[in-house]
Amino acid sequence: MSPKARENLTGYLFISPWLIGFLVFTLWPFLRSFYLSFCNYNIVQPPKFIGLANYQMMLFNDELFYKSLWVTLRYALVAVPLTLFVGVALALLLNLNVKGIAVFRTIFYLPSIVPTVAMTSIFMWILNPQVGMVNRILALAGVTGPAWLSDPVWTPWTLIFMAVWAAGGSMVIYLAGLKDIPQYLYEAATLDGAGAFRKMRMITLPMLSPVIFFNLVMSVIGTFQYFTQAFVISNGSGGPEDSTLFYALYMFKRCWKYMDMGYGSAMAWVLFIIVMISTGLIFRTQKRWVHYGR
Amino acid sequence: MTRFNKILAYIALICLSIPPLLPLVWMISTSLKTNEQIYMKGEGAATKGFSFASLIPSPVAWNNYPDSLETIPFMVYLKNTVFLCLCIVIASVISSAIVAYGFARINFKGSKIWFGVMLATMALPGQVTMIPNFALFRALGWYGTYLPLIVPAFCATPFYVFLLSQFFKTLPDEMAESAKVDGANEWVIFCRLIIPLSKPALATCALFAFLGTWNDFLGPLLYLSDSSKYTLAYGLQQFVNNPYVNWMQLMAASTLFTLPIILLFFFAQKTFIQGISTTGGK
Amino acid sequence: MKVSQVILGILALAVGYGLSTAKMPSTEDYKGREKIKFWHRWGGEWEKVVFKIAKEFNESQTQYEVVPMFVTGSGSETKFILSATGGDPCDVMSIWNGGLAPLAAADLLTPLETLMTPEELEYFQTKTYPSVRQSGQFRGKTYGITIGADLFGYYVNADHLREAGIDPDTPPKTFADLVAMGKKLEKKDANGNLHRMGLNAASLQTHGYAFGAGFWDDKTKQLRLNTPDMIAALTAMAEQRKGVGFQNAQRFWASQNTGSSTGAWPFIDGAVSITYDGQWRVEEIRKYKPDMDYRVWPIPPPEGGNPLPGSIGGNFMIIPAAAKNKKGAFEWLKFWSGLTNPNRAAKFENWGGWIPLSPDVAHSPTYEAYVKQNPRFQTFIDILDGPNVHAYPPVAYLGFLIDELQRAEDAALRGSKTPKEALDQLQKNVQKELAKRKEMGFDDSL
Repeated sequence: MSPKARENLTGYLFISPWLIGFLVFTLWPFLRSFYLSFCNYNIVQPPKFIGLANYQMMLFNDELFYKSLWVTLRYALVAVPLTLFVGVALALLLNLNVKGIAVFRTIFYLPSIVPTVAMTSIFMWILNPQVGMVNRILALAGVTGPAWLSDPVWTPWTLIFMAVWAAGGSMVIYLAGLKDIPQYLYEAATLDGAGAFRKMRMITLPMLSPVIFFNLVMSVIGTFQYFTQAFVISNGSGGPEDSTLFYALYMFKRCWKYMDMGYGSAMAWVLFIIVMISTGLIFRTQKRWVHYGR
Repeated sequence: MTRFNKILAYIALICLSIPPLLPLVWMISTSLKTNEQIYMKGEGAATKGFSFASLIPSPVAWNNYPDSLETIPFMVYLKNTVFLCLCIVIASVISSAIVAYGFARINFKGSKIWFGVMLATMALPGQVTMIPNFALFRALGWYGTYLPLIVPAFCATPFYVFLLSQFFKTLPDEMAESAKVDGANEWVIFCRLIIPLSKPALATCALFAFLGTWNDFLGPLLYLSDSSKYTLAYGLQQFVNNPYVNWMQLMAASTLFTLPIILLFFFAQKTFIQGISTTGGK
Repeated sequence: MKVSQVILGILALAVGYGLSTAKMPSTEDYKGREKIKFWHRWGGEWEKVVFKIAKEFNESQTQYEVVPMFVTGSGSETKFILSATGGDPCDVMSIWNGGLAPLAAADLLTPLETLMTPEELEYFQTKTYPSVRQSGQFRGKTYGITIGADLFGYYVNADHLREAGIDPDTPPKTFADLVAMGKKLEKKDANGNLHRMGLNAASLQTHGYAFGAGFWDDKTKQLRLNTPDMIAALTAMAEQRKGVGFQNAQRFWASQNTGSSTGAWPFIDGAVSITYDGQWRVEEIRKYKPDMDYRVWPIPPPEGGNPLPGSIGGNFMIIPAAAKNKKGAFEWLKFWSGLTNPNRAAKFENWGGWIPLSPDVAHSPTYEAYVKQNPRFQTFIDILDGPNVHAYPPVAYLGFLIDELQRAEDAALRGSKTPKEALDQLQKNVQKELAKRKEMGFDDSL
């Protein structure tokens, strides 16, 4: 065997765990679900090919499909930028070089490691309209707080509130990014007489932009799959008045409550296409604001 | 920084620390209260304001803890969760490291393409593969066991592979080259040279894997049938949506569920933050 | 090695040891018996009743041991579907009858006739309450038998009524009278916040039977979702809620411990004067506030409406098609439901305060003694024996139908849609779903 062939073989041997997993647990199911999206399939009886009927129903005749899409998009449009902003702001603050900063880092990171189910239950409790903590704080200011979890106008904000609370998770990654910014850039800027804001705008944010970009892409993808919080808070129903019927939850309900896996697969594929398009769009904006290299 | 700025920074930090901490304090406070203390009754209860004094339970209802442990088999769920976490952390970190080494340090044909494919799968929503995977695991007879949760972990996790390969690329080539001259093959280099140098990065992946498994809700929901196999995240949901349960017990269970994670992070945070900075999020 | 590492190591060992000995709580250990995996939806205090019945069964047996497990409420159907399609279901499960037809339509359930002896079959078909029996049937076969059915009525706090100058022993003649009564009982604080709710009305499904023929005509097998009588029923309920204030009612209700099965239940607690709830609350009041003075009234129909309306809900035992121990499962089903030994089953039904399967149970000495001691329970027996008690429609899309029905009721009672809009929308959604199912080749025959 030539050295090159040997190297190829070694390389493939090393990546084989992933390659096998990719073929078995990703590629095959991926293609299979494409087929199932054209079927009537309840997972008990064998799938029956019915052509485009699932897609037709979904796109032209299903109010809840659009509703769940809207619930998800609305959440994404507010929560993604907001958590991004909070994450970056916290990182800038926690990058300060003062004594005891490690303690503060831990405090801000804490909410993001509280397990989702526990966090949801905590929020269900602190947002109790009458005896919950939040409304009682509002009462101090003479404001009667809303019924956060049972009023459909407020439930999306409740979930956004939860997301912002846990936004410290991305802070660590931004912090790491900030640490990578070479100090001499700031020193040079100081010599040029730049103030703190100018440094932030000209050095910190551009240098941090690849990390922000990475986080943006991951959180958009994650948001389209938003499930656990909505499932726990509404006990799987998506209520009140469908205000927590996120796309992934509606799909889950179609699959595992109404046993309509064909429809569920069609929904999954539409989700896939939406995620691809939005990731693609974000990538296209990349040139304008993401700075790689020095 | 001037003295004045420093004081300003501390004030800002302390004020901002209240929102992340208060819900947790409220959780612990509720977990030690009685029913009468949490449901304030009577005229004007609806408009009663918050006070820090109300955070302190009196009398302290310690019995919420043993009671909540009785309502769900907490220790059994904890045992299952720890077992699952150990298996998945070990499997996914080792397999991801192996794959990352292949991508980062071996120059084989197609390596760029496969790496791109792997990154692309990170964008694939899990919902797309959910049903065929369920059917697959059912056909293998794995439903109701931990296998559907553990086995995929042996096939490396793209995110960890990505992080580790970024790190492996930063390691100097010289030692590996001289080892090759001495006749060591790639596997030996991987085990003897690379792994010992990569502890912080590996620890970071391990922590991510641990948090992910400890938190995982959909996996147990889909694949576990018997309650003696439930994990805490899933078992606690049964608790949250049990209409007969009371908030004090639920908060006690949530405290017990969250505490190990906080302790773990507390002990591991140095390695963790160091690991993140060395791998970088780029 | 640092001190902290040593401490950590010792802690880890201790936790490890503690965990390795952790065991599921089980009542007793019956070695060598065939196990029956039983899933149910009773948590908290109720789970203790289940354990008690299971214990009696296990003690009466030499062959089987039943092992109960709690599966949370509305997630229980999903859990069942996952386990049944995954191939590792329980042996027997107690589900809500609203979820039964879709499972039967997907071939996930065992027709129980196949497990009955000819005598048992004969008995079941002739000696059980028709509406209760039908609630477990689909396309002519029986898939579920009740172990504790539910009926609903209005619980009335007699002290509150007297305080407001109303005689609790003269029930309202019409629904409008009930609403007027509720208004008198209501209390608000200075800011207009609800402080005591007068009347809490719920369930369009059952009120529909009081105002007309309900949402499903069993004779013509037709849905009647936006018929004038359904609209009238929902309008009456929504108008009542509007009188309280939609927002106000919602906020008040959200802050109550409504799910509580103990003294914190808002009715026991005095937070609501008249509330619509299930018959099992009689047993709870007996346990947690035995000296409470209260009445139970059936839904008062409007002028010319149907008296004593009822809709059979509750817990029905089913046996999955893929169950491993069907024989044992059926033994357990018979034991609890009272298909054999009605008087013994009456005891279990009374422990939970449930509606039984057959007149033999309901009029057994044990059950009658219970009703005598708890006279308020009689209202539910009257509804059960009456002509206006209905089973759910046996349609394969029942899960979807009930979800939609609840969404419509919810929208109207929140004031976000008018009752007519809500029901027209409901009709439209259901027709669309039916058309889709037809096109996709689902079998929706009855």
